[in-house]
Amino acid sequence: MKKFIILALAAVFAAAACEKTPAEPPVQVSVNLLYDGQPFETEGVTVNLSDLNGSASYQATTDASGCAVFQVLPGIYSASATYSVSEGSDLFIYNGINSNVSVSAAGDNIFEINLVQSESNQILIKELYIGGCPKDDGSGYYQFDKYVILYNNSAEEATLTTNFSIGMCSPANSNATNKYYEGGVLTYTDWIPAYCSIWWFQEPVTIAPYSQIVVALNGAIDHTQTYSQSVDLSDPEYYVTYAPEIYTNVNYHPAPSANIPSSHYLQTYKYNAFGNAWVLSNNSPAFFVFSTEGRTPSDFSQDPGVLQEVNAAATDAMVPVDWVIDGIEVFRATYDADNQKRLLPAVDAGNVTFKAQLGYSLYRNVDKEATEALPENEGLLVYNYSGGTESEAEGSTDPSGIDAEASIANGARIIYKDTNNSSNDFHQRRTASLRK
Amino acid sequence: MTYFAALLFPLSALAGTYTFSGRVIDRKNGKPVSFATVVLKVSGQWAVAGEDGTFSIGNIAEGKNLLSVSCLGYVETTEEISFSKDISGHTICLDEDNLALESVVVTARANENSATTSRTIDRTALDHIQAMNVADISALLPGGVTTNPSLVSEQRFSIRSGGASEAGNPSFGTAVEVDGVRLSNNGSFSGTEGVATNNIASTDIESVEVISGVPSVEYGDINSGIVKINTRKGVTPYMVTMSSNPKTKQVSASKGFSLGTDGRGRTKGVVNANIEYTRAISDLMSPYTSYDRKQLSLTWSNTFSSGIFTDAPLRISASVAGNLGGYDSKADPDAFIGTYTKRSDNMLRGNFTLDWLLSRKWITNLELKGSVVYNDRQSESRTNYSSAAATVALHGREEGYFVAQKYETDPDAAAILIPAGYRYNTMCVDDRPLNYSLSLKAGWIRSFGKVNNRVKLGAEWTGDKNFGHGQYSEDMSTAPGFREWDYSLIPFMNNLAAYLEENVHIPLGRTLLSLTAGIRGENTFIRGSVYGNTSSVSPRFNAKYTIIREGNAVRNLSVRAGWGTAVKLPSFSILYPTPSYEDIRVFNPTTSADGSAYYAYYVRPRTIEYNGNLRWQKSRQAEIGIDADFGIVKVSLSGYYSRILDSYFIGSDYERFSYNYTDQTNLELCTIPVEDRIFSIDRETGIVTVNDASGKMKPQVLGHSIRNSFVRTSYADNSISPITRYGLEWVLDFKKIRAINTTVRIDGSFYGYRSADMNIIPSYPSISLSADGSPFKYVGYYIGGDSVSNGRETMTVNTNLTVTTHIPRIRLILSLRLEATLHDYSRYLSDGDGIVRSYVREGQQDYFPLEGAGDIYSGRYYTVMYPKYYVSFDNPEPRDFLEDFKWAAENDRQLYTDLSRLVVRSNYLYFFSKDYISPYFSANFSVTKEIGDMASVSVYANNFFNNYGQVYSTRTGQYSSVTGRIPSFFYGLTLRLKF
Repeated sequence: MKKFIILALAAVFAAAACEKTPAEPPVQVSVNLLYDGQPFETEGVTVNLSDLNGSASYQATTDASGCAVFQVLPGIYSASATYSVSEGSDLFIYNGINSNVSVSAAGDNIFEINLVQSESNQILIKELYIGGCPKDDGSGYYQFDKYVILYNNSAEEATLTTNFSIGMCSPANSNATNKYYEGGVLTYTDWIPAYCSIWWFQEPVTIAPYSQIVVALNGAIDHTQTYSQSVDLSDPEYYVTYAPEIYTNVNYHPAPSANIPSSHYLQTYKYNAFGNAWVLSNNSPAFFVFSTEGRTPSDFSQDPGVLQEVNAAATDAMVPVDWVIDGIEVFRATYDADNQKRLLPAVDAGNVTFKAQLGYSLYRNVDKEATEALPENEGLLVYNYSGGTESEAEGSTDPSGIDAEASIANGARIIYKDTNNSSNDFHQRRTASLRK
Repeated sequence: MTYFAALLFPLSALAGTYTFSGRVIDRKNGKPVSFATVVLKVSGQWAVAGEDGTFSIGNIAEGKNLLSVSCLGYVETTEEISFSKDISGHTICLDEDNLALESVVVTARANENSATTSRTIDRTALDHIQAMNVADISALLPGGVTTNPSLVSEQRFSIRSGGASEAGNPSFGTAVEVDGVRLSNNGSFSGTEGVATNNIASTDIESVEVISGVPSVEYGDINSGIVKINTRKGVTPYMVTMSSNPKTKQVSASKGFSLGTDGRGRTKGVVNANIEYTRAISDLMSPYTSYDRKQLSLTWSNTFSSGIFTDAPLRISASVAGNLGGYDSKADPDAFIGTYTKRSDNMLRGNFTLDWLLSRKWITNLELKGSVVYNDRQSESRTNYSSAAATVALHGREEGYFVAQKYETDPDAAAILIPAGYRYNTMCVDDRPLNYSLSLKAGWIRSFGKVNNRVKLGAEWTGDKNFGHGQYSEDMSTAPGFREWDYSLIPFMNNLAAYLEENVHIPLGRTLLSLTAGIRGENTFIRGSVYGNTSSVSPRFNAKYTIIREGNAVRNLSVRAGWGTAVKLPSFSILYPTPSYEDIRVFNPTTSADGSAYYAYYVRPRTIEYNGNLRWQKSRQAEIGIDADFGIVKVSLSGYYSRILDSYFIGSDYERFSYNYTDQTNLELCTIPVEDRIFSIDRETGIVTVNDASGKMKPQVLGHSIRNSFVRTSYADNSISPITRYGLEWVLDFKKIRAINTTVRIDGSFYGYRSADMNIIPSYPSISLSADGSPFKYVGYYIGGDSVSNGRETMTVNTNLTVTTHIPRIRLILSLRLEATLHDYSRYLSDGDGIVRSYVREGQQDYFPLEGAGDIYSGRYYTVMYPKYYVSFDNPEPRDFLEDFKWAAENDRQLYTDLSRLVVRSNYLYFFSKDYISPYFSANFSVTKEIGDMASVSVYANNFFNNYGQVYSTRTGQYSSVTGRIPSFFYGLTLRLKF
């Protein structure tokens, strides 16, 4: 017995002795931007380097050869870069991410970011409200009031055809085990896995310039009758993802308000074998909109050739990345070490961190320069935006300082920021914009 | 072994009979030992000593016999006695059972006289491991694995099985008895599990015998092993026990009282009383959700041996035990206020035994036993609900179309509209099973020359019933959907069993052959049901050949073998599965401004076809064993092979069904204002009519469409696939190293399991639509169901090293136990009984087999599996699936899409790979110290090295924490006082 006690004490001592490790000095890290396999020789591009556990973030700008240099401690980092340039009336965006930057004390620590080019779009996701809100009786939180606002970010009228679709990435939560990662790298490069099913409009929808439509992603009803901190989604203009013979769970998919015409019900085909609800993550979805090309969304989602089973409970449809119009990558707050990107850089090269259950929303930042440049906004813009959550841990706000909703109420037209990088484009708003 | 020695000598009743009398005394103080049991094992005769320690046995045949004397609190003693004349004044000295003795054992002890594998764990061992749930003793069996004690979750015995995840209802097949009273779970409607042992007071247990081999035919309603728990009986001092571990506190008091003698000097018997209070919590961080056990047991026993019983003593024992307690989360401040779950685990158990020693030529003894066990497992759960829109709670049990009604409008409506808002509701389950039994057993023991013959003939009548009323709500206006199912309306399941067993001991030179052969017949009566009378027969055979006794190099050597069949009666959950309903939403309205939405449903009770051909699940078990004593080590080996046949399962099938469907597009044509709409639906046709509450407009009939679908039927059935288990158990007890007062024991087990489900099981993806937007039109029929695998095989090797240091001088015993799982193998199976069930496919997206590929076990592949055949709504004739699927891929896009939904594909390359888990270890210690005769203290620590290491899986190539495979660091303390 005595021997065992001695052994145990020795083990404890050894463990305690191992706790202190000598501090390592910072090392130099070079990150080179590449486009199409060649150096992206552009000076002044901001490169972000983030510690994977979320404890540190660094920025540096590229030199003329497209190289950014950092001094950081050894560890695992994620590097990303976004650069946009106007050519005529078109805005081209270059995005790239390398989520496997392993900095060591002895290595040469030279890494690359492969940039992909994408364009800004007329239709974008203005707001994604997913987190739910506290219940009035204190018994937890309510989460069946999710919605998305699609916005026409241009001066031209936009039409969502019946090919326009809504999808969510697999896995549903950013911190979940992601089967598509191998060696720290996403295995898909030209498609995005749409989990469970996709939704599409029954009829073409026209959106006026700088205007929006609301799509209720659960119940198109007045949620405020029971939950005062929720939103009223019973407006006749709203749309809803509703297919009662497929998704039978009336908590997630209650009968829509009598105000809403049945033509506003989005349609779907469930290729997933399980589930009675379309369960969009309430804390960290990768949400995207796209338009099928050369086939209808119905035909696409019924094609066994585009499906693959991720696990026993999840089937994904492989949506070509070229079809994607806009996306938002949401990371779960306090899970920094586990969060992994699902959207490809061409769709969204960044992420926005979100804290669920508090009534918060993900709201797109205003493109200050472009918005202020619109002559009709003269005197209508409201500044000193205070709707952000930057005062909280992992919170954020709109750096433009423009209060978009107050400005719109004032008659202004807002042009939102669209760099296909939600780190730049979105912030966590304290309240949903539809909350009265 | 002395027992066999006695059997080697001739004993004949014909030579005359004698009387044996004497006195039992305490060796230490010479005081009489009251109520000691004196048994002559060869002839099966017995007596119980009086208060003065005296005893007398008459009608003893001439010859050698084996005297065994035992008494609660003393060590059993045995000696050979030769009867050629009356013997009187024989003094038997008993040693008090405590740690000052050399012979203390704190492990499971093999019952050497048994021809089958049987082990006993006595009170000393129970105290040493501080068992708070009797199921904790499983760790003391060969290869047993320690688990940390828990009462908040239900614990069950499962002998020679890999646990509840295996097929064949393993815990359901393991019987548990307390003082001969069977604890039955046959009256349960909630699955095929064995009885939970949480409500058995652990402090009242004197010993536990575990029979894991082929049992006597005396035991029925079992498949795999029996656990016999014996409570304390006899005169004892006051004993107080206080135990504590981080999650459980326990205090108990017990006493065995002598009631003295009556005016004529006859003893009034002994009363044993035990009271125990145990409280356990599930989470140290939130010590409010708890399980309580408050138990009182009383046992009266007496022996009548005077007057008419002078030559034929009658021993009577009667017990009653009651338990109050159960699970309760009510006090948990971490839960939302006003919500809770409570589950009673109340129990009342009464039994009597009359054992009459007749000692006649044609009968030796007669035993009559009766028992009643009543359990109160009522539960209630108060839940907080809220919703932004109205919901519908379905309660209807009759078939037809029903639209939701407000509770105020029709409290008995099949569909109750629950308005939007906040509410509480308390749901209760009234579950009160009762089990009774009455048995009569006659024993006849005779010796013919050297041959000793024992015959056991008995009959047993048992019954199960549930007096509960099933699920109900205290407030139907807010209750969630459920259907009443009154358990009490189900008739008694009665079972009559008769058995005959012959046990013969044949001396062959210096060796001894013991043979036991028996047959048990059962007839089950369920009046007023299709099951009617069901019969079964269970033959069993055991043989033991003692080759060497008291030899030189090998002191003792015996081999044994057994074979037998055992039948497990069904539970009510098999005979009467809880009815289920197909609730199809046939009308989807819109939600009005107040959140109301008057959905309508077609309620269709799922047909439960009571299967009159249901056979009772049975096991066939074979066992061989060898027991040898080499002087420095005693070796015991047991190999077994068992198959569970006709295991119970709920089968299903589908039948075509069409219904009318109305949705918002139909409703949009209605011109009645939303706020004035009152919906009704024709119960027969499903036609929805909208009435105008204001009376201004005429009723408007909504349009509809027809939906063609399938609905499920279910029935109790027997699986066609046997479940195979096999294994080897070993125990090596090394001779005590006297210099350091230490013994070493190595025990272990190899366990193998294989089961592949070959039943044709239908599957219908009811929540999928066909490619044309209609309800899914196809049902696939799969070998063993629609999972990637249809079975599993496992092999494990567990071995334990127990080093026990016992220092009698200071009355201390310390044991250190290293538990090792050296081999942990498993693999999923996809077997089709001669038909290929799963194929290799090339890529993750492929739907068809890869040409020329090997079988799925030959490498790491993605696999694909198809229904054996399928039916469609339009064509109920079975069609070959793969053939049609291949054709559809080329010729019919819509059919191809639909049939692809029935294809089952694996998602991992390693799905069917062999999985070897790297070895893992845990070390535990226990210490017991007696402080004089008054007190003893026990301390234990499980996983005291706090092993949080990792194990490697060859299947996934990943390391994972060993937590969950071994107990986490845990400790406990017990103080026992005697006065």
